[in-house]
Amino acid sequence: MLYKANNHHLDLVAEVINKKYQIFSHHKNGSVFKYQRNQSPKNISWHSQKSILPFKKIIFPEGLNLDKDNQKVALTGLALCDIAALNLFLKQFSESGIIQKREELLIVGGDCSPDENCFCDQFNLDPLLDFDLFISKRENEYLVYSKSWRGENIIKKIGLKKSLVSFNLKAKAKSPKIDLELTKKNIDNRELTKDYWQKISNNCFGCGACTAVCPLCFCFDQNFLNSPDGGCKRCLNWTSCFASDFSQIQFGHDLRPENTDRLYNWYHHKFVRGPKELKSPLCVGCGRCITACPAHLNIKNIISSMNNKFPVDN
Amino acid sequence: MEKKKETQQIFIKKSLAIFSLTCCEGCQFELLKDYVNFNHLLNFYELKNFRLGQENNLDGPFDVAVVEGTPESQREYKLLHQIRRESKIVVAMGACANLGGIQSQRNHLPAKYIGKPEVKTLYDTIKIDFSIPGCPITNTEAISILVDLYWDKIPKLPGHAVCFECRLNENECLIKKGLPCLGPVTVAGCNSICINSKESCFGCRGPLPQANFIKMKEILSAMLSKKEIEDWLTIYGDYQKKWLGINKRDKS
Repeated sequence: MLYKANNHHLDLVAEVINKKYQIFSHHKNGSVFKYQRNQSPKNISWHSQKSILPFKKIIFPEGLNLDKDNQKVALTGLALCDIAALNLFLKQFSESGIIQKREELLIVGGDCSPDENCFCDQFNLDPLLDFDLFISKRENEYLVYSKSWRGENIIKKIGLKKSLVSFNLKAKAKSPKIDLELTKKNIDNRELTKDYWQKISNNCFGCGACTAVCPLCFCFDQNFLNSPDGGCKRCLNWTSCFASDFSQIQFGHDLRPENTDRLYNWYHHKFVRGPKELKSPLCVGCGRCITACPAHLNIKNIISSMNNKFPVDN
Repeated sequence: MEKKKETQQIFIKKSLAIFSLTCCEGCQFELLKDYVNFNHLLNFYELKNFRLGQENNLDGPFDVAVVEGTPESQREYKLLHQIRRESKIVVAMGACANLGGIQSQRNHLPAKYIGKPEVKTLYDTIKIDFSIPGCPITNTEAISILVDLYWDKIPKLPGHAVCFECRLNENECLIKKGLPCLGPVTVAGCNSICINSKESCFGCRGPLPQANFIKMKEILSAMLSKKEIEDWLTIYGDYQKKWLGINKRDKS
């Protein structure tokens, strides 16, 4: 349902959420935005910003201690791409019990202002996204769109008026068309694209910065940390398929010894295995990896130039 | 609490020795930085030899010997070989022991200025079992490596670059801003401490096995001259030489 609201109403919404959940939103920190906890329900920015690390640092923090209880968390100001990523993330971990269950999360979306690295319009993000509230700004009022009973309950407590304006969620970025089906086919055919990946990996450091910031890179190492006071702690550490110990097995034997194998594996997981396992590519076009890469590699250009090089059915 | 005390008494202590060759001794101070952790370490180890911290030092044999610095004089070479003979595990601590350190810059000077033999790392001199990199080392990492060694667990350095940790700390990329930084080719584990305070990474922790030096030089060449790039890559010893060494060891 769609409702009208003003600034005062949104403050009330924040207070209602704050009673049940820990609220997280975007905070400006120097020249970058960080996704951090709001100590008080005031000054929440409902507008979405592109933080360096996405929501994954809150529901799946680095060094996650498995003995801890999950907290109820409200993630506010998520852009459409982040909501889509969060849906896939929850799908991947649904049976694991490692991260919060859907019942323990409140997902609140917000308007975004896409930059030159965004390419979310290439992925079909709109239909059947699972979120609770979406807050969108119009000239002098806000539109609150609720999509679940959790959202409806919050709005019922405040009593907002319904709105009859037309409203649809749409990917805002405008990027040149990429044929994802062709990309999938091309990446799956390694013999054909072998030289192409070699060329890209010559320009890649293999540092793993892209995997650190990707909202859909969820590979982890299970570590047993011996603490100096005599105990032992089981924790999950983020890792990256570019790391040299990621695909190592006994006696230092490496299943993916060269950087080109690792790079290929990253793209293969994103665009081939992702659609097979989770019915959607493991990329939502947020462009964070483009901003993070020290070698100036651009995933958007890499897949579109591959499609140009190997155009039709092969 | 009582239960904890009991478990502490069960530990059969191993003997530990911490030696210092030619260097600034900063790594030893870094070990002592966190007294609580260092005290915990003494539950596992009997400190047999630690010139900086105690007066009565004993001779070997040792279970674990930690060595920092590079050997310079005949006496130090002799001491080093003696350490290797008498200890089960030898750990190279700090950038000097692993890469050659600041003093190894003299290897790149013309011979007439020096009149001294080349600076050799511990790897060039004796067989080293494990290493704790960094200049100075990271306290938490060093303590956890020593605890792992007590439990006969093989300590492992991270396989990813400083960039990975730098993004975890939500820093902006310095290379993207046009500043030189060796993060992409350097082993992680320092929690990107330099870049957190807006300083470039100088690569004190040594190169990654997968480091791409050709690309690194290409990116640095837009910011620095050729001579400066050579200087950057040899601040803590010859980076690429060590890297070639790693790759040879991996393939053999």
